[in-house]
Amino acid sequence: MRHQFYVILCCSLFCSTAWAQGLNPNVDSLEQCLAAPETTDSMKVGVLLELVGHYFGRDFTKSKQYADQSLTLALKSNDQKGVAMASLAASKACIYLSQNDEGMAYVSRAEPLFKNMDDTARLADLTRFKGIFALNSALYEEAISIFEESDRLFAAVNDNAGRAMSIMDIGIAYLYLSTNEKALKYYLEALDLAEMSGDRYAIANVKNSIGQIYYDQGKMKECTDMMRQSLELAEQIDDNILISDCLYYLSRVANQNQQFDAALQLLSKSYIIDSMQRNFRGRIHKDLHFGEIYQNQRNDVKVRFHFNRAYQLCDSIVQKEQTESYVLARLGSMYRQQGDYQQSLKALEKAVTLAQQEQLLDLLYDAYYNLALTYEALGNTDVAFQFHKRYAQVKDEVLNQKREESFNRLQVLYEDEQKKAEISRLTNESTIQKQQIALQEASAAQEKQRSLILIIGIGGLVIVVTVLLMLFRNKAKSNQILSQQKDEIERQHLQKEILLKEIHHRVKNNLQVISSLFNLQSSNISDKDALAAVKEGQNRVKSIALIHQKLYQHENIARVDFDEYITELVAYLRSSFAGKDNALEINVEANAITLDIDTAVPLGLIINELVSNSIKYAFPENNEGTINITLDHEADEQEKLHLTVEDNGIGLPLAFDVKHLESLGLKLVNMLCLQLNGHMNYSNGQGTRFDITVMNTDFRKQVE
Amino acid sequence: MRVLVIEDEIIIAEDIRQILQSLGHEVVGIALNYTQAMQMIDSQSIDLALIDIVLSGSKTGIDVAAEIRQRHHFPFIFLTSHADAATVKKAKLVQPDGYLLKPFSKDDIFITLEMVFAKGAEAGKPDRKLAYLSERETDVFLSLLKGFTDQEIADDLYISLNTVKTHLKNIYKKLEVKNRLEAVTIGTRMSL
Repeated sequence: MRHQFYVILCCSLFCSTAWAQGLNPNVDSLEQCLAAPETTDSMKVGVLLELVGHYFGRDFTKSKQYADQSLTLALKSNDQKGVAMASLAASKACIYLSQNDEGMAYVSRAEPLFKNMDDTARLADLTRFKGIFALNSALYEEAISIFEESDRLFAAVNDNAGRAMSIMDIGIAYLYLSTNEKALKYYLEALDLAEMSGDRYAIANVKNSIGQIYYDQGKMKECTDMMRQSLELAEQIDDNILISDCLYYLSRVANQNQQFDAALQLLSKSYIIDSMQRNFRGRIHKDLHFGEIYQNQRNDVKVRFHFNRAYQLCDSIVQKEQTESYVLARLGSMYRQQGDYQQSLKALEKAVTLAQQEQLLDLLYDAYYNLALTYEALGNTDVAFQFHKRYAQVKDEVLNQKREESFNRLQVLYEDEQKKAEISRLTNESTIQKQQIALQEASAAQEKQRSLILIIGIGGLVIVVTVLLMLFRNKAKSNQILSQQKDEIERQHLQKEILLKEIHHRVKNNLQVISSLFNLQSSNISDKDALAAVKEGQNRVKSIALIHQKLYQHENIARVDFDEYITELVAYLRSSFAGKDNALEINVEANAITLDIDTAVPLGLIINELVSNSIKYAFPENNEGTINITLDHEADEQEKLHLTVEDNGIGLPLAFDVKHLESLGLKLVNMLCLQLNGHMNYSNGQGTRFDITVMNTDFRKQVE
Repeated sequence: MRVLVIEDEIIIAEDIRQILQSLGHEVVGIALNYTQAMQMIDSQSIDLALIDIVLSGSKTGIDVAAEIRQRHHFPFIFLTSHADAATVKKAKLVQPDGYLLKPFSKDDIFITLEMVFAKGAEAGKPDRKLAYLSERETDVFLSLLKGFTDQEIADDLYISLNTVKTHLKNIYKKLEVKNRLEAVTIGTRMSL
């Protein structure tokens, strides 16, 4: 039963393919075209092939007739391509018509032609047909290897849909070999490929096949899902054969689930489609199924009608024996159940004859079994026992045959494995030999290598040394450049310093000119106070000029060494008040303090005023005394400078008030203290003492 | 007239004080740096300020001038020994009522002051808000006009990026603009 069914299934796949190609030319005009005298043979071949396509799925016999006509014409006109195409079309029709041997003949004719034409796509199709013929001839292993070949060919032309169908066919072959799990595995792989290709026809077919496996496994729910999905796709692409098949399986599921009305409804639809397509095999199976449903409903009349119709339909198909035998066995079983034992025996005996004639052992023991049951029902236990014995014999034979087949298959597999092992052993041996040779070569090469390494080593050393030398030279060069740059910077710095010194020198000179002008002017002044005023001015200019002089003389052009400065200023002041300084002792202590010009000028002026005051007023009588000048940083506050100027003279006048000063000198001291952010204290004890604290430039700059 | 002298060389400041007094003005104070100047400005009414650009502290006479422009409305005159283009450009922004170069004479001071006072109520009123920018803000603003990015301004002026951003915020506020584009537009109109 299953065998027959798959034959139908395979057919359905192919007529669907043709249908999907969807040619629907005007048949009349095509036939007119054939009749027209001006149509050349090669044109006729093409037209005929179109007609083959048109009748495919409608009428396979007619389709094949046109294919044959086309082939004859092509052969006559020596049209190689036409021959190949016509053979392909004819073989396709043969699948449906279950004409395996004839189909194989067409395949053999077309195969070398497609190979010559390098038409891999068509060769893949043809190879798959060849596989189907092998499958239908029960040559399963051969079929599998042919399908594997067609899979490779489809892969070569990137036809995933074709691959899906080939792999599904492999699954079918495994199903025949009763390895359902393996079949399902191939089906699922086929489904992957089909979905990858997006080809709805392929997806629908694979899902249909998977659904069938689920049905065989009794998984009704899964089967329903698959069939529904397949049905939906089949409806989308208008594939009637597939639609019919899905409906058939859904009906079978419904029957299993005791939903007889639904089952009948689905089956009716399926049957109508098959009728329209003149699919007699399909109708036979569906009539049998109708019968089964009505059996469940105990409607004997309808059961008889459908089983009989199935039997009648067998006359309409080619290679009908197998199907007929099967139908007869079902018919016999049906009559027995209905109590019509004579009819049952008649049918079963025919079934046995056919099965024996065709060596269909499966069907034979099935028929024997049914005969035994019928005779038993007739009360003829002896005959029943005999048929039962025959049944057991044939079944054993079948089982043995199957066992033998599977043993042979295993043997082949084992030998295959052995061969493979042998090959890999030999390969290993040769590899080992090669390795040994390689080893010997290697040791020889090692010798060579050693000397090579030595040479390379020496070469490398030379390179390293060269590189190091170059690096060293580069380094030396960059060092040279750096030192040149440094020299340049130093030169520029020096130049800048020289320029600054020049400026300070000029400022000092100009101030010196001013001081000299005062001096010249004073020589004409006779008034004592006026003379003193000019003298004061001259000294103030001189004390500033001295700062500039010290700046350009000092190694650090920005700062004045104040120890030196005070000492020179005091010496100058001593000389400027000539005649008074003889007995005067002036001590300077400035602790190597250096000051920048912004602090040096005001502080220099302050010292000038205070020391001048002491010289002029502290010792009015004998000019004997001491003046001490100290300058220091505050111990804990480096930004503070502390200046003291003290003498042991007569002290300040009683009315002295630093806030209300008449003399410019002390006024200046006061102002300059403010400028330096400082303050001034004075004390009148043993002489006079001025304590002045000022802030250095950095501090003053920080204030806003 | 009540005059404030802002000058870090106290001897020069005293000289100016004597000149001003001899011209019949009252010197309300001598400030050596920005802080002192601000204290004096805030504590009394002033009719005019004479401002040296380089002061003793970190801030300059331009900063003082900007503050005067922003918060007070009396005229001021720069009195400085700096005549370089960069200083003049910055000084220009705060729109001084006069610019005197050292060394100066009594007459220079006399004429400049007369001219300022002649303007009367007009004196001390800037016609643009640019005058409100402090010295550093002015630097930032001038960099802005060069098309510098914030980071370039920071690099150019040796200040941090955040400081630049703070300055920019203040500049926008003082110029009453919303963004850089509007600020630049004002600067371009002044052909700075």
